[in-house]
Amino acid sequence: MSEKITINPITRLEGHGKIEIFLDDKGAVQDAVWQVNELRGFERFCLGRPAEEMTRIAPNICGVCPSAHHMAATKALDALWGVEPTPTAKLLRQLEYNAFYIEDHYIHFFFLAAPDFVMGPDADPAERNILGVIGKVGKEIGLKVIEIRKRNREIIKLLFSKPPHPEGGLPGGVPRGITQEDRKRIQETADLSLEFAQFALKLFKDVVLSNKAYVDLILSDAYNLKTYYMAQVDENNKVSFYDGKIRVVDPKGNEFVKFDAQDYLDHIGEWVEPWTYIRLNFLKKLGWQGLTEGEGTSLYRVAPLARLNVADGMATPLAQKAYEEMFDTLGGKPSHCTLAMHWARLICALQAAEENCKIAREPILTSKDIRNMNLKLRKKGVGCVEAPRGTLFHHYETDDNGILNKVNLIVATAHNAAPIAVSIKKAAQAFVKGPDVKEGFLNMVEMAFRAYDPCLGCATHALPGKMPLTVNIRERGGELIRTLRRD
Amino acid sequence: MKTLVLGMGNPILSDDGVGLIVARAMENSVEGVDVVTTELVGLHVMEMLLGYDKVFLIDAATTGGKPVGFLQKLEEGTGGLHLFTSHGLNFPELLQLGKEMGYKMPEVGAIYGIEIVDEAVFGERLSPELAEKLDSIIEAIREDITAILSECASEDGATPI
Repeated sequence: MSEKITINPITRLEGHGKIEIFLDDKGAVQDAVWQVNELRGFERFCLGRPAEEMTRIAPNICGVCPSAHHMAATKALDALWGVEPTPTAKLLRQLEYNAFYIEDHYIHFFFLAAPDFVMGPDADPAERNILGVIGKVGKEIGLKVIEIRKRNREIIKLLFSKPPHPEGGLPGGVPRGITQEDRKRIQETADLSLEFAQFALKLFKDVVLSNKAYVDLILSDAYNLKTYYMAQVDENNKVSFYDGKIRVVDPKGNEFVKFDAQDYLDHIGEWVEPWTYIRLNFLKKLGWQGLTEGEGTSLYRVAPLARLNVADGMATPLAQKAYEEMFDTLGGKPSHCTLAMHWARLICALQAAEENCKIAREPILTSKDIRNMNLKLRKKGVGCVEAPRGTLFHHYETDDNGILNKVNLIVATAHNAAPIAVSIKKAAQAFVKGPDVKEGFLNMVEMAFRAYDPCLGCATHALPGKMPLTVNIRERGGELIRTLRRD
Repeated sequence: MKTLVLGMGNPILSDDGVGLIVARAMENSVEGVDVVTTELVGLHVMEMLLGYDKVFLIDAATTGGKPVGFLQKLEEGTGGLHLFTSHGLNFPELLQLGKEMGYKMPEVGAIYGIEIVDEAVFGERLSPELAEKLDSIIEAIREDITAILSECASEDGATPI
């Protein structure tokens, strides 16, 4: 039964990414496209099931952000049954959701982004990984990341059981409350997370911002893309992860539209191109204008940088200070620097930690009033959260018995699909000069879309240098000149 | 010796979840092991491994050219569908990271890969082709784990299972 077998490091849900680069007669990049084998059929799989099952099923869609799908599903059930969670239930949900944000953002930063900046984008792929990072900055940091993650996962487990796939979301509330004893542990975790969030930002400054080459890279045109931005904001237009309205700003930072999540179909269009399976989102009122940036584009971006571009500020004081510092450094707001996503990610994690410090001390957090049972089936519900990778919509419709007859999900990677394609083209144009591609090119192109942290469409969650990726370089007529492959 | 049987897969992706089903079948039928199932990989898996001396992994695989239900023992460093992916850490790197962090990481007893159809389909049941072979797969893995543990126990001078 023993046999050595090599298998492509991809999961079936994540699919496989492929980049096609077309050169002109002079060997310059004329076009580049990002192809994704998207897995379809989830919506159909859900039909005919009781709607309340969605909080159990939806977290399994994605192995990366189950808590985001769980919370969007829970909020869609609130809307479906026309019920508001009790104040304590809302706080507990926010507590869990912030804990998820902290966990998610630090994994991305330390495991996926840091290798490029700590080891360098041109470093030997064998060293450009978390082990290399730890070797350079010390294993204490690795242990801190693991500890912070572990403690925040305890919160997810406490409130919704079974991490990493929480599944206890209920319309109008949460499945269980917490005790004073639980609160003590949560406070400790929140305080440690806040301390770590400040440390992570300092590390970013020390390692990235103090290195002119990295700052130049962040500000370079290869990683700059002028689009609209979409994110969820609170009543003061501050960054809001759990709840709020959806705001869109134009490439100059002016508000373009602000709408309730339930009206998302009035504002988001989906375009299909023959070269990719993923649907490309655009702003419906502007119509599909193609894969363009700047004036005349109808493309918008979501994810951490979008959140900061869209909002008038952060919802917490320390994050607000970091927000101001970031835009000062980047030359003002909005910033179109794709690589600044990593910086924005750390600022969002700081807000999540600050919010949890506050929530952990709310007197009503331990109240027993955790469920509003005033349920009235409305037969349609849209739930929205600001997922770590961007705005996430869940839309359910049912018959009179609450059995699903329509399910529609719009995930962050769908919002970002078209901008990712343009980002790749710009990076390819900057780094590819003719068919003889210099060493490190793959990583420089990967960095353009790794910043988005896309999932569900492409296996970009592999370690830098280990991402399964095929790059085909073709002549103008389509004839294949060279294939680069990384498994 | 503290032993973990870890089943990996996605429970709503039909055959992809076969590792979960097979692992659960080991519960109460292989003595002295803990059985855990998971949908995720990465750091989550590393945390699951802590505290164990030996681990057996059961996962779906799409190696191509093998019939559905074909059972193979995979080399460490290769692996099934869920041993590489999602958020950054494939299995060998997980083990290495754990060691670098100073954790005691378990020895790998075996990695079992079960061939499934390559096309992903949403569903909570196995395909008929795989379901037909499920009992024999479970039995083969049960026998193999039992034999390996028995051999380890003999080497340790303990009473074989």
